Amino acid sequence: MSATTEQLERNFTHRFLTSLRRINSPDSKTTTTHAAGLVIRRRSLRIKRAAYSSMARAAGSHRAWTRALLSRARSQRRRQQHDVHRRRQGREMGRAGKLRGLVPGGSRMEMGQLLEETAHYVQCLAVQVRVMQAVADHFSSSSSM
Amino acid sequence: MEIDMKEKDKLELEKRNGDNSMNYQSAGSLTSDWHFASANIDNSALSLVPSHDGQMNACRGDLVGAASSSSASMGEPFGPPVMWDHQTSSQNTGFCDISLGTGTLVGMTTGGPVSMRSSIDGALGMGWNPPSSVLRNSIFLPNAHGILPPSLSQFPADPAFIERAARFSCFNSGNISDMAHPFGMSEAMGHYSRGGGMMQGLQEPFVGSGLKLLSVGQAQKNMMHEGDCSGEASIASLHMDHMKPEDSPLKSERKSESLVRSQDEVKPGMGRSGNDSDEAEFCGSDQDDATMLEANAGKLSANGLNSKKRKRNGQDTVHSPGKGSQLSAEVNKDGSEVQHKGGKSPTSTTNKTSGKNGKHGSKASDPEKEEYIHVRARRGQATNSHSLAERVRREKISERMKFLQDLVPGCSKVTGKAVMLDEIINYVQSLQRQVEFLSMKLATVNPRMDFNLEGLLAKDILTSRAVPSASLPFSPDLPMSYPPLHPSQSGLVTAGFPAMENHSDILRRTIGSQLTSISREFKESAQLPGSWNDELHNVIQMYASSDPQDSQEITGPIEASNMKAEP
Repeated sequence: MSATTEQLERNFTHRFLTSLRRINSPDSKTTTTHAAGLVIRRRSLRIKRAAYSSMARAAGSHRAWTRALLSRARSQRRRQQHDVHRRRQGREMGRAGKLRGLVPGGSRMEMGQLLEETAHYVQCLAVQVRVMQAVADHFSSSSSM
Repeated sequence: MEIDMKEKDKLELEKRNGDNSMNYQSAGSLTSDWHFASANIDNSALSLVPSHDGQMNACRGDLVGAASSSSASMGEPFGPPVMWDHQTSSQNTGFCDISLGTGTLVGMTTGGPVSMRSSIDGALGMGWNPPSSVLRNSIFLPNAHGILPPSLSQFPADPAFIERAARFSCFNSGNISDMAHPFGMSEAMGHYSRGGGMMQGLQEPFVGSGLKLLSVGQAQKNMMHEGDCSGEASIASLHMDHMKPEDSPLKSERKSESLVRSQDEVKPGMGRSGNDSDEAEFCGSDQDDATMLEANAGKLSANGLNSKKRKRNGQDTVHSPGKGSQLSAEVNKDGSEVQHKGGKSPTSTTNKTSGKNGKHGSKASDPEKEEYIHVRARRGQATNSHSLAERVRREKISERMKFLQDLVPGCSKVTGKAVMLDEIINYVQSLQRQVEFLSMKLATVNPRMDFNLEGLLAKDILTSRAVPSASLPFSPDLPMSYPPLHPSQSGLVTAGFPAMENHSDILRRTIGSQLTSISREFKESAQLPGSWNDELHNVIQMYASSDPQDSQEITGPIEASNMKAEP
């Protein structure tokens, strides 16, 4: 693994575990009022958002997709749903449009930048999956013992 | 005179770029330089080669200097991309291509930064570009060693130059190539082969005809923000050490000066507007740069880079199989025309005029940053400015696609933009699905344990390295097989979860179904069918052990799916 990938991994792991702890420790409001099934669903959504935010922060703000992800997180938290999904590139059809939908902030980029951001995004996603898998394994293995 | 001017230009470029690992010497020594560079790079780049772990970062990190984690995280995840390989082969840059294409690219197949690739392409397109080749050579060296006779003597070894080079190399691998380009460009103006040579070295469009500065510039831009050049400096100095200051140290000094200057200017700014590229003004004055510049500048300055395209009509010197002598001859010719347009004028509008001036002046004027992207029109192709810009854009996109091809597993045989895009989309979707699945898994698992952050971090890091058995099927193989989960998963869900009894059961079933789906995917990918079953069973047992009453429910559908999956 390259130095930057390791650094990214460490950075992301630290942030992610910190948010996990924050999510899991205060369980007061979720356990009592809602159904058990919903608790898990809600927590998983929170964990997913925390994972993406941690990765976006760890990757740095010099990337367009990290900025888009963080701004989306911020706006969502304030209960605002901005439909910036198709702001710039006019709902491109076909594969490019699909890719734009997948990569955060992709609707605003042109093709060349989109591909570049996609490459970086893919790398970060791979790191994210690897770390989350390791965390999940660690938790599940220690809990089962 | 020509040679002098070229060297002077080189120096100017250096100054601008600051970090010119590739200060190129006079044209005459170009060929030798190249060899030298390649030899040098060999030494320094040897360490770089092995690091490729399929990550762009790996490539890049090595290239820039393993020591320094290039600009913050993945700023420049692209290392010396394989693209160079593609690019070089596609370009008929004769000498340059031959040596570079065969050797270097093979070594660094890992996707380097896209920008890097683009820049490299540009450089390779040049055909000779000892300076650019030097840059690239460093990356590729291990492979191209035999091809290029080490005679890169002209690198200025003055410490200031090295410093600048180091600074210059801060930017990811793409930067390096970018840096190299400006230098090489000035000398090889005439050599730039084709369009697409938009080099945007440190945010500055390198003037290297045929250099793809745009893509590089973009990457550079991102990298610039990080500004982590410390590591790079070490690397750059590494390369520097190998270079013998054959050229007049004064020249190199100037070049590095200009490079630094340009670099510094860019850094504080949004991005280098291709000062370096300006320095690398190429001669090519014969052509009507004006139109090209205008069109190109308009298009390329989208990112704030001033780029000027310069085309050389009817000059396919780059394509001709340039031997060393040929290249040097060309370089000489180009050198005379080369001139550093003055001024760091970040406005693209100045490109046109400066291009013209540069053309005729061909003097080593004060190292101004000209943000031009010189694109050479290919033989028999339209030389319209719009078509040239379009060509550059297309080449940039194809470069990035190639880079992505290396990144996405299982796409090496895929040819064609559409299929490649489909694969990329599938891969991203599968990764996002995995994140969702893992977050659900974590939501169920976490509350059971106490959180010990330090202990978790240590253990997690260790486990992530060791790749625990349970995660083994996921990590390496999930990326490989990312067919949609929906069919199998939905089937299992509907079959196994008739009612929602309690959340734990539901979760276990969901996770179990997802695991089976994923395990089925693994089997389809035909990686390690036997081990997957084992891994899957291990994971399932973990769930089962935690809640014995669900074990039957879990293993039931899982075994069913396993049976289905195993033909």
